[in-house]
Amino acid sequence: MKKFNPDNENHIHESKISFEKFRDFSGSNSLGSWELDFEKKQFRLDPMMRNTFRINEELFVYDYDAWWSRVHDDDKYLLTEVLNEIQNGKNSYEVEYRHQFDGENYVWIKNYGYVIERFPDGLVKLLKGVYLETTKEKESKIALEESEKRFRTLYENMLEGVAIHKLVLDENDQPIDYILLSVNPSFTKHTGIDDSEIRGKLATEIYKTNPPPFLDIYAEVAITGKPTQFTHYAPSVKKYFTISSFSPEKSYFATVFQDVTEQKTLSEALEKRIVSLTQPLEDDSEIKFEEIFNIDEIQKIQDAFSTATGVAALITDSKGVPITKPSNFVRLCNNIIRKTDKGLKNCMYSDRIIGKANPNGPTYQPCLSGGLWDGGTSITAGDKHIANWLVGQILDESISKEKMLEYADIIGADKEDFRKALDEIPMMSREKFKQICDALYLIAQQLSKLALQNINQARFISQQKKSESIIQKQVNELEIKNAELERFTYTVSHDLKSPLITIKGFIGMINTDVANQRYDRIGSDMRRISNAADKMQNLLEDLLELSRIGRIVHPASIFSFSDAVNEALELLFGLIHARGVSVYVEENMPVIKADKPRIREVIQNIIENSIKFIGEQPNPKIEIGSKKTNDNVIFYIRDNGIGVEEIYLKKIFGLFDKLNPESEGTGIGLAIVKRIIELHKGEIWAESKGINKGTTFYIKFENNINE
Amino acid sequence: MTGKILSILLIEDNEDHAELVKRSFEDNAVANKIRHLRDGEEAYKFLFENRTIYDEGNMPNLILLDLRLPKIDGMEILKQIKTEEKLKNIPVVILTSSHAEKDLIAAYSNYANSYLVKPLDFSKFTQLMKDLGFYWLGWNINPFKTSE
Repeated sequence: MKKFNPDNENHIHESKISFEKFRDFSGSNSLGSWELDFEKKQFRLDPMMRNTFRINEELFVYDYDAWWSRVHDDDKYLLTEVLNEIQNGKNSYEVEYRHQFDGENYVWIKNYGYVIERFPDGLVKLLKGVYLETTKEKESKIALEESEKRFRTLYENMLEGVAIHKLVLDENDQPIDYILLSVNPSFTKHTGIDDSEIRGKLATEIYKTNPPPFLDIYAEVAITGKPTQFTHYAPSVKKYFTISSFSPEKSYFATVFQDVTEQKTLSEALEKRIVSLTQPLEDDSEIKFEEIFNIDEIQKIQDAFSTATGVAALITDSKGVPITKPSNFVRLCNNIIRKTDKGLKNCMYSDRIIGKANPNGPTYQPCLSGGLWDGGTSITAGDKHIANWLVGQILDESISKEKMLEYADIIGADKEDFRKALDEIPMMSREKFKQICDALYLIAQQLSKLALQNINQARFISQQKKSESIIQKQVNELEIKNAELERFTYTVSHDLKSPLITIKGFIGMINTDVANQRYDRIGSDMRRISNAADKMQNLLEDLLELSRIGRIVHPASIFSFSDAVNEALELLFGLIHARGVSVYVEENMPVIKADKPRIREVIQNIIENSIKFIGEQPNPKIEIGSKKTNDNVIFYIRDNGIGVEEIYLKKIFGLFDKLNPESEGTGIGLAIVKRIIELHKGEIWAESKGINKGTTFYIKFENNINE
Repeated sequence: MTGKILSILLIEDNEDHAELVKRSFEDNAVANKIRHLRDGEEAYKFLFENRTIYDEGNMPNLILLDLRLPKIDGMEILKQIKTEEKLKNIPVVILTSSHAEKDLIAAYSNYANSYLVKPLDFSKFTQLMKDLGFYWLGWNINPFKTSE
């Protein structure tokens, strides 16, 4: 066996080669070999290591203890274990630990060792091995582990429910389902679906719906990688959720959902409040004190005022009905007078009178029910009287108790009890009471100002909201109109150019033919030119007609659809007669409110269209009829002509869209029809069972006549 | 170009324009076989349903395609041709009256080989047809084997 010798160049060379091989294999840059001699108690290091481990010392042979002292304390136990295994018979090992080569810094190394020689008793004599520096890998691994741990902690503890899914596609790459891969504890808390139950299961299985919830939205996220967010109301748990979805990699998506029920309810309540506040002040609807103020806050102010002044207090609406809970009410009023029907009625009446709107100051006078001193002031919002703040229930020197006792008889209360309660009433000088009422008046004035401010603010918000939505609506309409216009110019420029190309082209052909003395096809070429010119004229007329529809509006009148049909049939008499079409018209069809000449034009156009495409039908037939429901009237015009294939049923209403290039006409007729019906806020569509099965046109109007 | 069958597939709904194209080709002896299809559906059936197009001698050397076609749009036909393995190498020249940029961009995005706007002027029209024929059927080299 060759002995390791640090000075042996040859050996270094050899080991270098094997290191390089190993380097290739391991992909690492820092490598070196070592040997541990248990006989001499020496640890010897490959001189190559000087560079790799940045060692300044000349020393490459350490005594065993010096080497051991450079092993990181935390790794000594691990290394001892490994060495024990070697002593006990294992022949090779692999261990990763920290070592201090340069006497300063620890580096992570992977150490592969193997036994070269043993003593006769089996203990190791010589151990050799290689080092591989793994500091960078180890550090990044630790960093990764830490970030994973941090992420994991976040995932486990965040309030939002998180679920990670994989999209499932069918054989045509169409999304059909998704698999739940993992959910966090919050998800479980909200949905009751546990991580252990869902692993790898299909969403259809878990949610018992097909397609599974929001498949379309999630599929888009998983395929395009574009994140999305939406709010969803779950009726089963009566909660609103905001769901955000993003795709960490293609065909995977994560969803994060948050319970926003509270925010949603709050904002809905606010919305409601704004709506109720912004009804115009002029109108008869009541503005309610409760809608302008937080009653709990007002109650606190009222209670504090009452405690500080020693008078009873209560806030009622303008009719005397209490809004707050009474503070400091005396037993006489609360438990005796107000407990009788007559007494309560008188109390409310008195509250209304004493609190009545008086802009100049408070009122004070003996109560119109029990006769104790009461004072009050009104609270207004603008010019609306919304509440009364009443104080009082005190006695002064002027009130006669005897006279008050008579009131017990009048309202039917127990006289003895009445007297006892009367004795409990606090006494106060009239001057003091007036001062309290003056202070109350000042507070109420402030509340009135606040009320008006609140209303104005709410009104401002609602107006802003309204104008924002109006602008948005206009922008949307404008965009639609713009797109329509773009399509229109596109088709017009295209279709007007076509006949021109024909005209100029065949004139050129004729010129050439004349020059070549070829006269045979001049006649047919002239016909082509003439037809193209006619076509152009028709196009221009129809376009003009189309542009008139929106501009020239006849006043709407009320008429029976039958009248419009009959007018159209009269105009089409020649055509109908020439083709031998039988026309059946339902009598007394419903009445509609519309632009009659335009509706007649619609009917005329559709019938013309039906006759044009009646085909080889031996018994051509057109039926016109109606159907009425509560909300709508539907008219139909049915023919037994050549029919339309289902896929083209929508296309026939497009501008210049003709299914048959050879058919006469400009392709504008049904576009005109559609435009007229749309301007009437109606709907038009065609149905056909297919080729040679006839076509039925339906026109639906809102039922806008009150019969 | 002697003795070779040079066939052109013309997909055009305007009968007059088709006639102009045919005559321009005939007068200049550009091609000796022109098949005219009148709408998108007819074109679709011929190209994708009627398998005889793949028979020897039936494969066109050039397709002239109008964009505004009844039933199935020309752009859709273009897309289908260029995604069909057996047809995608046939040069497709868009021949339309539309100058619209969106058509131009869509056509090239769908691998049209050329985009031409029908000239209003007769002499330009015939000149274009002549140049077009000579270029695509004469000078241009296609990767597919033409039938001799």
